Amino acid sequence: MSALSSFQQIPIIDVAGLFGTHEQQLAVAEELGKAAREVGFLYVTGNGVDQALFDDLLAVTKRFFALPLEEKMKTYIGKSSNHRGYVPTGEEGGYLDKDEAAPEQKRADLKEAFDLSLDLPADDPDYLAGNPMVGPNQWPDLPGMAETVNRYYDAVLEFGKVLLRGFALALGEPADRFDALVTKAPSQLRLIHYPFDPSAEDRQGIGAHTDFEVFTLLKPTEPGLEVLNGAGEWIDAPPVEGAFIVNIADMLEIWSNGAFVSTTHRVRKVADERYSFPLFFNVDYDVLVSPLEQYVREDGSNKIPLKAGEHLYAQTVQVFTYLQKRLKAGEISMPEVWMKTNSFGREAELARESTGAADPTLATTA
Amino acid sequence: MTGGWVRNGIAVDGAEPTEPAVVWWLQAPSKHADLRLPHDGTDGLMCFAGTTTWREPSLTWVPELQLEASAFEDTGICTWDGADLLEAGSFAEGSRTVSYVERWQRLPGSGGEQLALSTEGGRLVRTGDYALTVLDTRASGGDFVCVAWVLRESGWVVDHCWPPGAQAPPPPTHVEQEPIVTLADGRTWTVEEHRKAVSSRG
Repeated sequence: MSALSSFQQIPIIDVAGLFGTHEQQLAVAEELGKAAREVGFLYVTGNGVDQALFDDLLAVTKRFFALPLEEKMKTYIGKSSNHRGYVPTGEEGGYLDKDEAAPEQKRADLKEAFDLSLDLPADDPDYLAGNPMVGPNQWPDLPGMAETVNRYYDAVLEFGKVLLRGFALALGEPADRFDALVTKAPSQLRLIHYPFDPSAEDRQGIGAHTDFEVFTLLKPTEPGLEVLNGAGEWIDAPPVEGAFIVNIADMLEIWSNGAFVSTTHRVRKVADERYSFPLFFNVDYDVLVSPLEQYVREDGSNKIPLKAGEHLYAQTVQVFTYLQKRLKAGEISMPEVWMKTNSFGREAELARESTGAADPTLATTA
Repeated sequence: MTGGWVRNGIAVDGAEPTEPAVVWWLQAPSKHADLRLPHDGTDGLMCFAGTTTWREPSLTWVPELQLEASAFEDTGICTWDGADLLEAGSFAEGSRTVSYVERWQRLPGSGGEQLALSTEGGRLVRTGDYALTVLDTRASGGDFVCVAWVLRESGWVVDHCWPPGAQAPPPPTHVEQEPIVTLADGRTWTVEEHRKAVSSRG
């Protein structure tokens, strides 16, 4: 369905034109569309996000992860009802190597993380109603952390809204096609820390996966990210000065009915201490994402409509130990419609090609 | 197998591995200490310290101090998966025998100096930048406590502990040949084992 090529390099696109005239926006959108169709990954420069905000974020993140475990666990994610807080080593088990034979052979890494999202007040009606992904963040007792992180979050979110307009144009839609869908979206920002690990050479870290939202805006401090190309080869995506790494995620794959590809990526283990900051840009929880009219095929081979928030939640439940425990205890339940992890993306497509399995992301087979 | 290990997943009865606790196992030449602190609640809380024996391919941990006594011999068959250590074994759950596989990964920076100290009702094991102090004073009306330490530039700091707010002495700053040391709790501790860090060449 997609024209995913055997790319060897990831394109770098200056998106400053998205802040300019309609013609300038269209010119950028054309480049975005080509990258989204053929690669699914791109770097964006000219994004207008002040480097100082990132420097401050990195500094406060280092201070947080240097705290004793006891302090970090005061914000343990399992204490929240809306998936916010500290993720200790091993908590996140779902991105394990999929090609290992026995469950016990599946490898995890030593990473720890701090997960947050749009910091809504505690009296937010959706939060009070029990929405599992929206509401306030948990913050540790670390002076300045909430303000510093939220400043970065707000700036990147604003850029994300601009980039969303670029993707709307790239899809042949009006620029403001999706604007109204982003009012209090569960767009998660993760602060991820990979400790120094001398045994980590040439080992797989976070297993191959796609992202669940619309697109991801990523800033890592070191190399390690790899992207799967159309030939099934893993291509390095090292950090580039002043750029975000952007990858197309599951919701754009649905809107475009597979024309844009949610690109499978993974994180190679590296010995160096490393930090990574993905912001997973999403639309509002209850938005039903289905193929845009111009992409609908008459043969019925169309992507399944999914509620953006429910898809995110269902994927998250499959990955986090504390949510698995709640699920087994009957405290939470899966949404009515949900996909197994790794249903989207190029790797899943390659696996289906070799096994002849049906595509679960199509409405006809779901 | 000496050094510091963090568990990163336990697969029970062939199920998918999960990690519901922070588990450190510090192994000096023959002495060990192990703290298993659940992320949430106390279900699965364990702490023990004792002597480890190796009879290929099995490791056996014989406890000398333990939070809760276990009737089960703690023996695991060990294999390597790259740099990870896989420990397979079984334990009793009621009348049923349950199999498990635990994945152990090196605690970064735990490859340095190894030290095991003992006192009446106490054991301290240090491996590189990590240490566990286990104290059991329940026989004299006290508590069972365990403190997990990490070595920072400022010195030893508490990383986590059981119960919350537990007090126990950190490792000594410097040990040479002396057979006993006095720790911050004022008690004398016997040096059971001491292996200095191997300095790199060049």
